[in-house]
Amino acid sequence: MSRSRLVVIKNHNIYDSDGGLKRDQTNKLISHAMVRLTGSTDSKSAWKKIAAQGDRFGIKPNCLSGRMLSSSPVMADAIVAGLQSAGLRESDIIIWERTNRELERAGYNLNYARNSGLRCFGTDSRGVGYSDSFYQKGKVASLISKIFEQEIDKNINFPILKDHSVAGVSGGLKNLYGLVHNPNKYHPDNCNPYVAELSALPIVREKNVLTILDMTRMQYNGGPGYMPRYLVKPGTVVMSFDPIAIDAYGYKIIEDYRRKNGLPSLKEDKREPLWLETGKRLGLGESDLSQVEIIEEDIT
Amino acid sequence: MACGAGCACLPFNPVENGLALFQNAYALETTDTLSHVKAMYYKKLEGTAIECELCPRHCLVTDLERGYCGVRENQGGEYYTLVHSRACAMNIDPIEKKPLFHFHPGTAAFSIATAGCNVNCKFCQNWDISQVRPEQVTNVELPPDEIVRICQARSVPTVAYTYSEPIVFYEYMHDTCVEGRKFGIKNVMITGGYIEKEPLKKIIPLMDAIKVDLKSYSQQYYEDVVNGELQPVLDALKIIHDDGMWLELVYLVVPTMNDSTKELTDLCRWVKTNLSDHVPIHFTRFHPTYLMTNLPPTPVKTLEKAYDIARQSGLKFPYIGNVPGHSAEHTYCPGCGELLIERLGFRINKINLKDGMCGKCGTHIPGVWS
Ligand code: SF4
Repeated sequence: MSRSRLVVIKNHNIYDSDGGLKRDQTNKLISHAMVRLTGSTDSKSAWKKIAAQGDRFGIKPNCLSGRMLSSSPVMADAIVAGLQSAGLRESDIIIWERTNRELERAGYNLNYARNSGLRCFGTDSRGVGYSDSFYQKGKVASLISKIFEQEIDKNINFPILKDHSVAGVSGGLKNLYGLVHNPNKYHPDNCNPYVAELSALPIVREKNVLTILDMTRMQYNGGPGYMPRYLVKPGTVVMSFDPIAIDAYGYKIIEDYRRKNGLPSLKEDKREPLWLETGKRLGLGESDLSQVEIIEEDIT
Repeated sequence: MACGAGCACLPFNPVENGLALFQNAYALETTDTLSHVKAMYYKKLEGTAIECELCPRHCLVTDLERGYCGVRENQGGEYYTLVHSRACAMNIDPIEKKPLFHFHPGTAAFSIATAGCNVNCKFCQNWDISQVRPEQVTNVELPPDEIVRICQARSVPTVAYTYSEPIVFYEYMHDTCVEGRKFGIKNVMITGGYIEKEPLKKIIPLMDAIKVDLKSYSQQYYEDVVNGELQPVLDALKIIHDDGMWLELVYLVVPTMNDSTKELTDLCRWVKTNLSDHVPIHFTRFHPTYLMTNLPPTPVKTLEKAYDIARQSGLKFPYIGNVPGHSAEHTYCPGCGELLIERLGFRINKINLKDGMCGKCGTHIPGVWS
C-alpha cells in the first residue's frame, strides 16, 4: 500500500474584514489543496479523481457549535464548485447534518428540493430519518442517516478542528457521530474504541472518500462548545484520503497550541485520543505522522 | 430497559397507536420542543464539563453533548433533562403487566415513559423508545398535574414509570410522584435498578412498590448483553429491600445466555440471603427481537427449571411469566399450598386472601394488598 498523503495549505489572505472567508481566496485554497493531494496538473482533473458525472455526493460539515465554530459554508461552496467542475450537477450534491437547526445556526441555507440547486438538509427533515436496519462494528449498533445510506454514493467528510473534552480531538472521525441515531452511546472511555469502530463500518469505508479539515478557525481547548478565548485562525485547510492521518495531524496541531499557551497536554488531561491507534489497528489509516507524506505550502 | 424485558408490555405509543384517543379525551398536545429543566445529581467539572451522578455510568459530558442515555444535555456547563413532561408512550395497564403480583392485584396503573435508557440490552422489546433520543420519537406534553388529572378522571389508583428506564427521566418521575401523593395516587417504578445510591434513597420514599429487572447474576452477561454492571444493581436491590419498600424481581431467561443451573442457583441463593425468601421472582420468557434475533424463545421447560430451582432454594414466590395459562402464574400459599390468586395472563380470575392472609390456613402473605 502506498504511503498516506496529507496536504496542509495556508492562505492568510482568506479572511475578509468581518473575519469571514473571502470566496475567491477560499476557492483558490481548496483548488490548490486538491491539486496537491491528487498530484494533478489542474483543479478540474484533481476533482475528477474522486468524482464523475452522475455521482451523488454528500458533504458532512460539523455544525454542532453554531456559526462561530462550525465548518464554513463558504468553504462548503468551494467544495461544491470543485465537484461541479468534475461534471456533477448541483442537485446531485447534498450538504447534510443531524438536524436542520444545526445547519441553519451554522449559516447554511436549507434546500430540500430534489432537482433545484444544491440540496442541504438534516436527517431530522420530514420523510428522511434513519435506516430501517442496524449497522454494527463492535459493541454499539446504530441506525444510520438515510441521507448517507440512500441518497448519496460518496461522501466528503468536512469537519472543523476542535479540542473535545471527552474524545480529546474532534476532527474527521468524531464528525461522523452525526451519522448515527445514538451518538450518546459512543462517548464512554474517551470515545475509544467507538469513534474508530464507527468509521470502520463497511458502508462508511466505502462511501467516505475524502476528508477536508477546515482549519480557518480552530479551538485548542474547552471544546466542543465555542470558547472564543481558545479560538485561533490558522487560515489553513488540510486534506487527506486517510481519515486517521488527518486526525493525527489535528491532534498534533492542538497539542502545539496547548503547549504554546501553557495548557496541559491531552495525555496529562487524561483524554489522549487513543482511538487513533484503534483506527490504525482496524486498518483505517496511519496514525504515525512520520509515516505520512505531508505536503505543507503557504499560498498567501 | 425496564419493561420486564421480553414480556408483552409494549406501550401505547402515541406515534402510531392513536394519539387522537388520548388527545381528544384529555386535550394533550404533541410537541417538538424538548424540556429545559435543570437536572438533579450532577457536578460541575473544570471549564464547562459536568459529571452526571445519577447512575453508575457517571457520564462525563461536555458542553452541547449528552450523556449515554441521550436525554440529559450539557448546555454551557449546566446539565438539563430534555424529557421532563415529555411522554412518548402511555397506556392504562393492569398492574399484573408490570409485573407486580403482590401489589393491589386487579388494579390499573397509568403507565408512562419518555425516550432514553442508561443501558442497552440486546433483547430490548421497547428499543424504539429506549434506544433513541427524544427528538426521534413523538412526544406529548404531559406535565405531572395532567397525569394526576388523567388518573382521577379514569379512576386509576397508580402511576407506573415504565417501558423505557425511569431513572433517566428521574426529575419527571420525582415531580409526578410528589404531585400524585397530594391526591393519594400511588407510584411504582419499573426499573433495571442501575442507579446511584443517593438518588435511589431519595426516590424510594415517594414509591409504593418497585420492580427491578435483574438481568443476570453474571457480570460478564451485564457487560456483553446489557452494557451495564451487576454489582450496582445488587446494591440497589439491598437498599430497596432494607428500606422496607415492596420489591419484586423479574429475571428474563435467555436461552444459553443466563439459564445455567449454576447461575440460577447462585441467583436464588443470593436473593434468599441478601433480600428475603418472600421477594417474588418472575422468570419470564424471552422472545427474539432487536439485536438478539439469533436465539429461539425460551423453552417452557427452561422456565420450569428456573422455577424449581427457586423453590428448592427456599424462595416462596417464584412465578413464570409470558406463558399465559401456566400454573406457575398463580400465587400459592407457602403454608398450605392453597391457590390464593388465580391469573390468566394479566387477568385475575380469583383471589382467596383475607386481610393479606391465606383464606384457608391464615398464613401471612407478604405484599401490598389494601
Ligand atoms: S443518567 Fe444518563 S447521563 Fe447520567 S450517568 Fe446515567 S447514562 Fe449518564
